[in-house]
Amino acid sequence: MTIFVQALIGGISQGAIYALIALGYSVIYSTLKMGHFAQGDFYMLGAFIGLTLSTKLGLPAVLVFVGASLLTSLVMLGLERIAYRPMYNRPMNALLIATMGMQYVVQQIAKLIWGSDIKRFPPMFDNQAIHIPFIGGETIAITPQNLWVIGICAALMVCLMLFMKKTKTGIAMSAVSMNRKAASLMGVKITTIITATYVIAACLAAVAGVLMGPVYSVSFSMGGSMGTKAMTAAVMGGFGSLPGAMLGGILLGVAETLCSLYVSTAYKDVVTFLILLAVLFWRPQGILGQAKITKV
Amino acid sequence: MSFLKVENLRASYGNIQALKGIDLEVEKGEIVAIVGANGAGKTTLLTCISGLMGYTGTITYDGQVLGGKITADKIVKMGVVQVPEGRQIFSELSVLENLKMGAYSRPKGEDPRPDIERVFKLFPRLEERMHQKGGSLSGGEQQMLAMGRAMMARPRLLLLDEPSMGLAPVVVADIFRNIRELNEEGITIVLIEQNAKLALKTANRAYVIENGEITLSGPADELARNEQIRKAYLGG
Repeated sequence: MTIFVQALIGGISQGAIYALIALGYSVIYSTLKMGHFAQGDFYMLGAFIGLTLSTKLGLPAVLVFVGASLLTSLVMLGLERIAYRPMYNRPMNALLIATMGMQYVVQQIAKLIWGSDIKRFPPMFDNQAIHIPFIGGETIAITPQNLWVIGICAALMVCLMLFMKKTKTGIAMSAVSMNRKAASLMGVKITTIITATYVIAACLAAVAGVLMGPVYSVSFSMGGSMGTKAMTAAVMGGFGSLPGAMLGGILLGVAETLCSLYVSTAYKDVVTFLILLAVLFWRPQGILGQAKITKV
Repeated sequence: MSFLKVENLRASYGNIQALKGIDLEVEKGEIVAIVGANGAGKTTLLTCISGLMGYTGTITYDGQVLGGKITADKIVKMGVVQVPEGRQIFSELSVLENLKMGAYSRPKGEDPRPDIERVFKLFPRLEERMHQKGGSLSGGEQQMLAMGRAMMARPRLLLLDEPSMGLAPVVVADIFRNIRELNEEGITIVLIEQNAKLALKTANRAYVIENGEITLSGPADELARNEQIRKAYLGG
């Protein structure tokens, strides 16, 4: 039982990271109706920038997070201007290919700056496990790292939800996702919404990168598998739905960890994709996704 | 100086020329109807005025040339507000939230409540449905919501695109009564309609648009008696 609970907490922490990146996918998809294949590579970029800010400049943790978010957003906005914006009025495939190509661009930029070897990211939080008493006199060991990850991710998700529901820009983002033409006719400036969307996606990815850097170490190719997993989470939860992305992320993380524990680490990817298939078979629009009903 | 002046307006979709040099003028306080068949370029004209599409020629509103630095969002702020064809309401937002979105262009910190009250007074139905999702309303109610939402931006020039489309005759009569009420409040109105009879009955002046060109214009009652128009648009 204690092992199960321990694994569950580890899974939620891993899943929270998937959720952050999945939220990036979903935010971009819901406002721009585009799948952003390079999302995982901005997670990598955030990790590298965080590493530099932390080791080279010796900044405190808070500033590492803020700095990595800001710089990653700047890079994202710059690349968007160059590579995505000219594609918005073209057929969808052009944009899709641009976001796929972007993966290599971001990876090569990282390789040029930080080199191609794996870098160790010194822990940002205490790694000494805390023992919490549990039923039957047993204790569960939780690392502060896991607690920080869960706490920071939860806080960011709450902030994002409040932003979407309460702020003028957030509500306008939802309006654009429902009906872009009507939103422009209300005076919503579409370029502002696009900027806000990419900044949110970049910040979420950067924070995830800084949180995970100390766990996995940092390399220019770390974004690929993370991107795939997070995309899986987003699809499972319902592509474009923000609560869906969170739910999908957590489910995926927990499923992976429990599978490693009870089946085998080697099969965890197989199991997660089986779960994805099962979910899509049962609900093609994802768990919280809305089926498109077209009124004629 | 006219309130709205369109000069030699040309616009195209790829190789297809939708507008081939439109000239028209709207005076303050008027209702001007633009009638014409499907595909004549009526909606394109409004899309250009709202700044959502590229064009050549000049559109002058209240002494200012639109386009260039004056983008779609600024045009709304200046008081040119469009109620698009097919209502285009935000189906997942409630009636109230739809109305609040309509006030998006209003200055920060302004209380939208007096404007909401005003919309509810004009369209009491919307108050009853306040918390319902926009998508669950009937066609007529959606048209009211679309017009109410436009009112929230405090328009000085209201562009209405096919307000009668797909509505039952009783509802259409209601909507047109509302249009006249808005006009009496001082809002200048450009009305696009396929239902030419109704449009000519409501408007002060009218333009007939065919294949991207203005073919006739004049006082609405005169056009309603015009033999050519009776044949083409009023069923003989």
